[in-house]
Amino acid sequence: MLRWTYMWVFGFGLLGCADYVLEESAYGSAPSMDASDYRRLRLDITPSNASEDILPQSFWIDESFDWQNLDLSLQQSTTIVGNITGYTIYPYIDVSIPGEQVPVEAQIQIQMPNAINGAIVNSDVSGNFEIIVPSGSDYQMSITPLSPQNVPYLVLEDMRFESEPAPMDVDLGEGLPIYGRVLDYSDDRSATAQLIDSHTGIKGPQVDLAENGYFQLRAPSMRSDLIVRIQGGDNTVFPTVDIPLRLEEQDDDGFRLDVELGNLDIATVFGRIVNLDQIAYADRSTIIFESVELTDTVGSIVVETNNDLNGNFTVHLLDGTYKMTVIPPYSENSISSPTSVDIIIDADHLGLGDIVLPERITVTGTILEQDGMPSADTTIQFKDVNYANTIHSTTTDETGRFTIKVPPVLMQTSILPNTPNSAIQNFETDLRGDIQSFEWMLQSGQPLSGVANQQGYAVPFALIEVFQGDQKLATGLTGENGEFDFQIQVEE
Amino acid sequence: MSFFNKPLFFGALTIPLSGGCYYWQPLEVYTPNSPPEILYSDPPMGATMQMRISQLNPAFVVAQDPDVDDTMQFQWFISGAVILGPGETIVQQNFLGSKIDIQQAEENWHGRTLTCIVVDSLGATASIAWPIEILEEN
Repeated sequence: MLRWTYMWVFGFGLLGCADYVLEESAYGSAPSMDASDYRRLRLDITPSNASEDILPQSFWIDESFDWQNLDLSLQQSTTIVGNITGYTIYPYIDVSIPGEQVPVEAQIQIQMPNAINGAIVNSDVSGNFEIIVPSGSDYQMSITPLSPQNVPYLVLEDMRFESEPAPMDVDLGEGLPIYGRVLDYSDDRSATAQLIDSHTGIKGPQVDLAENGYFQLRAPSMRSDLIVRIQGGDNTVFPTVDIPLRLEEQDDDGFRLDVELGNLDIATVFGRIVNLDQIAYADRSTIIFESVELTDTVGSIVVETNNDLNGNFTVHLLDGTYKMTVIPPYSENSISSPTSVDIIIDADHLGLGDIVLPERITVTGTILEQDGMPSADTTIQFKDVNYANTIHSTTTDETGRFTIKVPPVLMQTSILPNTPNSAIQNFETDLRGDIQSFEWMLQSGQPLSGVANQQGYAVPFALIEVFQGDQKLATGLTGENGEFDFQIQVEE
Repeated sequence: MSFFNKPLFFGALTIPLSGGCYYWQPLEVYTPNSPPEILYSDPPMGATMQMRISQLNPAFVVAQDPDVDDTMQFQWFISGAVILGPGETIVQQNFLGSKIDIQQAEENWHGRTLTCIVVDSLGATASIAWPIEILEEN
């Protein structure tokens, strides 16, 4: 009980510091966005080197704003300096023996939820750090130890950072131990354990499992709803398992958690990547196996590999059903396309045979202005959203026509008019079907214009990205005087 | 001997002319192609491209071609490693931009460069490159 109580006292002590308490923001809070916010947009402004010392920032607008006369005033930057220490505890499992206070090399992240305001830095070996963020409130702050790792991490919410805040000396303390063992673990496969704060999703340090499968983690102060994540190292055949837990006050001596994952026997899977002519694919493709359901094992697994010069690949997996994705390297003149297949692994050795990469298809089309005239120099973009998010783009000629070779997959398609008189269009195009030619007429949309400035000075040539929920509606630039003017199509 | 078969005398210089019709080729005005220019970027020129493996790593450039009718195309790549593609096009009146979102940075990119090259319709180019620093993370 004492240890847990101590942590709360420590936590309140830190939050009680005048520079970091929550106060009402001049811009209001960063709102969460869901389907009901269809008339609320987020504008992300990323300045270029045409402006100095201005950091990326988000703005939210709704129907109460004049969308054709927006005044986006970017905040000045605030520098936060500090130092991090923590208590290491030895030996590994016996939590009753106190350790020593040590400086902590850590990753410090200050981030505004649902916004681009924020920064990440690493402290030095002495625990000192300096981080610069736009002035504002509603920030989340996390400190995740890199070395040593057997100290707790820290999650803070509703932080406000204004100009010249006091130095932030953070003592991570000892933290409540969360410990246990992964049964049937063998050290021929590397694996880690990690805590995740359920509310914010902020992750703690990844701690290697000991040879016998033991792990010990340290809960962050004031966070009772956590997830313990057990996962394999890079490309290790080991499932990822998330175990939610809630810490109660009676857990003052720590929380024991033993994990049984089930069957960890390895299956060897092999095959060959070929093109449509059954010729081995020699370029280095990325081959990803993502489990849909594991047969006798809890959790999920993702393993990535590459083919060799003869198109061959070999990979080790657990029994189950998988989605296998093959992504050939991007090249403008490549004829090969990504593909995915469902596979079932139910044997120690399984040959998949030849996996055929489909060829790109030729897509043609015509873009017309709102008056029916050809739209020249209009950009068409296809983004393969289910694979590597690679963008394929072209522009129309003087007759409004375009031709492009693209993979026959589901594409997020965007049409970018070369004048602000028509709206930027976004829609899905399923090129797996018969659609290989289309005609599109530009439409008017919701005008969005205004100026980006900082303290009255224009912010020229900054990137503006407009989002409605998770959907990006437009990407543009401010002009020489910080002005912007384009049309978007807002989902109703 | 006709006039055209006689040598013309210009001081000591003798130019023999043969018979036939003489005319000048029509004059063509040659306008040299000006290469595109990368004007602005984030990260700025000379800075380091800091990437984290678990996060989205964005970069963008703003370019202009002095030849108004020239179109521009962008290409992003990691030197010696991978071609990333043309990125997302950004249209702004007389300027054109491109943005790349690098989703899965690789540790072995540390020390390589992220390069963006812009090519105009006559093949003239401009480029910008940033040394890559892969930051340690948990």
